[in-house]
Amino acid sequence: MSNKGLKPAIVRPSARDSLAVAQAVADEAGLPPATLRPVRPGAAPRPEEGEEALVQLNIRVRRGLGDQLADRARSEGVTQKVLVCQALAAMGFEVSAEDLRPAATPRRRGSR
Amino acid sequence: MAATVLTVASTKGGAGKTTMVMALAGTLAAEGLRVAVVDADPNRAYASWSEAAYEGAAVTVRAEADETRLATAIDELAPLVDLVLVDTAGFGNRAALLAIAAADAVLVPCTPSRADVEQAAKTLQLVEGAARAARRAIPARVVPSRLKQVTAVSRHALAELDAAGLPRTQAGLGDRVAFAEMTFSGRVPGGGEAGQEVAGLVAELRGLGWLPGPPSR
Repeated sequence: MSNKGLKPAIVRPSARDSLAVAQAVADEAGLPPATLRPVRPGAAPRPEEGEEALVQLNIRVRRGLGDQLADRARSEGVTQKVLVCQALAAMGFEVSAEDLRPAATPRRRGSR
Repeated sequence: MAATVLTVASTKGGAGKTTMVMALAGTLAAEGLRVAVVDADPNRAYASWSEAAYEGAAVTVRAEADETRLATAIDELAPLVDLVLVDTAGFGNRAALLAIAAADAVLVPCTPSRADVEQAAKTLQLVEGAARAARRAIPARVVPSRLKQVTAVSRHALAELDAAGLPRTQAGLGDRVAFAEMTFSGRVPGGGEAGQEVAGLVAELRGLGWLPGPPSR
């Protein structure tokens, strides 16, 4: 390839450009961050009007799996629900960004 | 000359993203290209494999799942190598979208399953959204992954992709033991049917102008 100081007509987008684009599209699509971190109490997102209704989902699993879930949730600083929702999203289920967001205060076994 | 940035993305897990990155990175590095992989999956599957198992020509690896640091990592690596491959997490997330927004082109692996075809379409929609927002073309192709070449379901999945108007490559990676072995042995298939499939994909991507040519000796 020739290298005579000729400048390319199309330059790569800068990190700032890419971030701005990703931010705009992610907001529109309601995408969560890749790494989910706990949010401070009070910083939890407020449900918007017209948000999808919530249902309760209780599951019973063997103790070994329950312990693994609790340990992983504690080590990653998220709730067990978030871990289950991540797995469901990975399987192709449509999971709301809200269900992938860590709760302000972990409540379940293993949270403390 | 800045590197080509090629992002491998799918909003669905298990589509074969990391396998594709392993095969492409290892094969192109073996040709003598300077290759970097940015692992944007918080599970760090590629980075972990690279540290613990990979046996092959040198590949620069960075693991960054935070979108801000990911943007910087791509920016920093691009001037130093010929190709930056970005592996993303298997669910729609901001880091994957950043990787798409920063890409010159996007590959969307898709296995022969209904969920994969649906999610491939969804991923291409995200690419289109990023291209609109960036006011530049971000070309993307679905890449058949884990295909069993002679089965009806594989033919059906390809027909579904075509019927939905989803652009796809002709080449793809099959459901082969050699790719599964690669994840444990760290050796990227250089021959056999698996090696031929990787070579076919590389040739097609070069034809599209999405990969740099082999270095002149």
